[in-house]
Amino acid sequence: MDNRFAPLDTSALSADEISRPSVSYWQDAWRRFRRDKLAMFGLVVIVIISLFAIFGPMACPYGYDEADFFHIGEWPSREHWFGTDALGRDLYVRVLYGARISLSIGVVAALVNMVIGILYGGIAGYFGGAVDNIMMRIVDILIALPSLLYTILIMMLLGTNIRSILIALCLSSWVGTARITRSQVVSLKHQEYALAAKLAGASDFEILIRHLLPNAMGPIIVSVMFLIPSAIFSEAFLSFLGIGIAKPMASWGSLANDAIEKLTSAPYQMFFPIAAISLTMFSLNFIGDGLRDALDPKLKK
Amino acid sequence: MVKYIVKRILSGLVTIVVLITCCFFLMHAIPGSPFSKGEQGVPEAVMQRLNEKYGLDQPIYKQYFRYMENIARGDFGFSYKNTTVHVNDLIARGFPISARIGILAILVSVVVGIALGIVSAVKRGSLFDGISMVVATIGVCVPLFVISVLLLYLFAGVLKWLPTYGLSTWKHYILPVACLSFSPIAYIARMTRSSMLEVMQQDYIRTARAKGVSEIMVICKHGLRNAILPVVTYLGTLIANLLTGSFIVERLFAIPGLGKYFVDSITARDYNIIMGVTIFLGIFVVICNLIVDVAYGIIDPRVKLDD
Repeated sequence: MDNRFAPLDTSALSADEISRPSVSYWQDAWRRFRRDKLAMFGLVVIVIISLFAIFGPMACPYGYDEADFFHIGEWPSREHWFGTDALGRDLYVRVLYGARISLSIGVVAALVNMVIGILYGGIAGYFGGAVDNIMMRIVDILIALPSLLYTILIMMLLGTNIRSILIALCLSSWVGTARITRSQVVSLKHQEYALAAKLAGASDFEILIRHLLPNAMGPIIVSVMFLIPSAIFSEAFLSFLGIGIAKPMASWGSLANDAIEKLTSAPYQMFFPIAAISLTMFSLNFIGDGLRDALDPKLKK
Repeated sequence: MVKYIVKRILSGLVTIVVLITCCFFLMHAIPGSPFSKGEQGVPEAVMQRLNEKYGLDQPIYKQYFRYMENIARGDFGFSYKNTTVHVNDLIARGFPISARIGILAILVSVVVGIALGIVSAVKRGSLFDGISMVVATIGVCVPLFVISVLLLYLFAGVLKWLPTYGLSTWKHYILPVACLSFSPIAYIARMTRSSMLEVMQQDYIRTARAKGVSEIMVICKHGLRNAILPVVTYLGTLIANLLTGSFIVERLFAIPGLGKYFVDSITARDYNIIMGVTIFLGIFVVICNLIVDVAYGIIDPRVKLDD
């Protein structure tokens, strides 16, 4: 009669059923990143610039150091899209070569810095105690001075070419990544899974590489992402001062440096390199901001 | 507090010693003595005399200790290229000029940056907020030399309102200071805006409003005082940024400051000047950071000083 207390037919309930596929951390981050319009814009621009940097010079009839004596210091035209410089070199090709140099310096410096920073910070954070103390004091000393000073000193020793710029940048800017990695590892190393791995007989190195670092990856990737624009900036800074890339190679900074003298008579020579570098810096910073919001939702305001 | 200051001074000293050591050995690792390059015709005896005069014939550790001793006495040595130029004179001539521009740039960045940040935060979502945040994004992303070139081209090249080089009248200061302070303004404005937005939601702001304090007083006295704390921590970085920025601005505007001498000596490969100026700048940055850190501890008593 009174069936108000009769059990429900449980087969009709789907509370326990997983209705959607589970989303991993990275999938979730990608979803958030995709929704960020500025970041996606930056990503598209960087992909386009990279494609131009890789394939552009092949499709162009001029070389970066080829002088065309019939077209000296000419404004942009059909033959020379970005005009020519005082030696008759095609600026379009030179800007594309500049893109190759800037982007590869940015990526290589960021990757090397990531490896050094992760290992250094990881070791300091995991072992702690005196090791940590000494290693972090060294970082404090390095961070207390503008890294461009070190970079200039190392460049003086190694000479001005692309290899020494890379070495100088790789040696001078890993400290930020090291600090972030250390703080992440310090906060993660007392988690249960680290203890479980230890009980299972994993070595320190294994725990650090297999268990701690993958979980600390989010903030580390964000910091490395911001290293790319800062490496590009440092190269442009040095080349702009005339102590970076050696002639006749061109980078955006050295192209801008060459154009200062003729700023009023031939502003197009200045326009294209600085437009290229500004666009790249915008895009990379937008990507970095987007990644930070995507990988670290706690930081989002 | 005293313990903290002593600790910071000690670590600053260590930083300086490490810098001098690195500088010294890097510069001495460069192949060839300062007098061997491009002077093939110099007789052996002259070379010997030169090396003797500058102590370059002594073992490297003796040279190192002598250099340390000289620096402790405040003597940065002579230029090897032009022996009448003393690095100390160079610093004494160039640094006041750089410092004047630098201090002006700091004042402009802090005042304008904080003002922009407050107005953007108070009028959140308005047109003003939108425009100033777009400008701030430009300032954060675009490199200093691009901004300097654009300002130089626009105001000195096309409009001809301002002079392009030198430092003779007050008009000459406008462009260099504007270039140097552009991106710091952007950083400070963004920082002030976000911390102001956070502070204005605190309970003590509501309390102040409930007491009947006028809105201006709420913003300036209760809000701003707490919101500018992050700006104080940024000052140390700002000084270091202005320093490297001065290399570009002084070169572009032909200002005879320390930055210009430094860059000139790098292109001329005048190692003793490079070394001297680098060490001087390093010591300067360390002292500035020390002052900023101690000031921060005094302004914000919540900061735990001895961690």
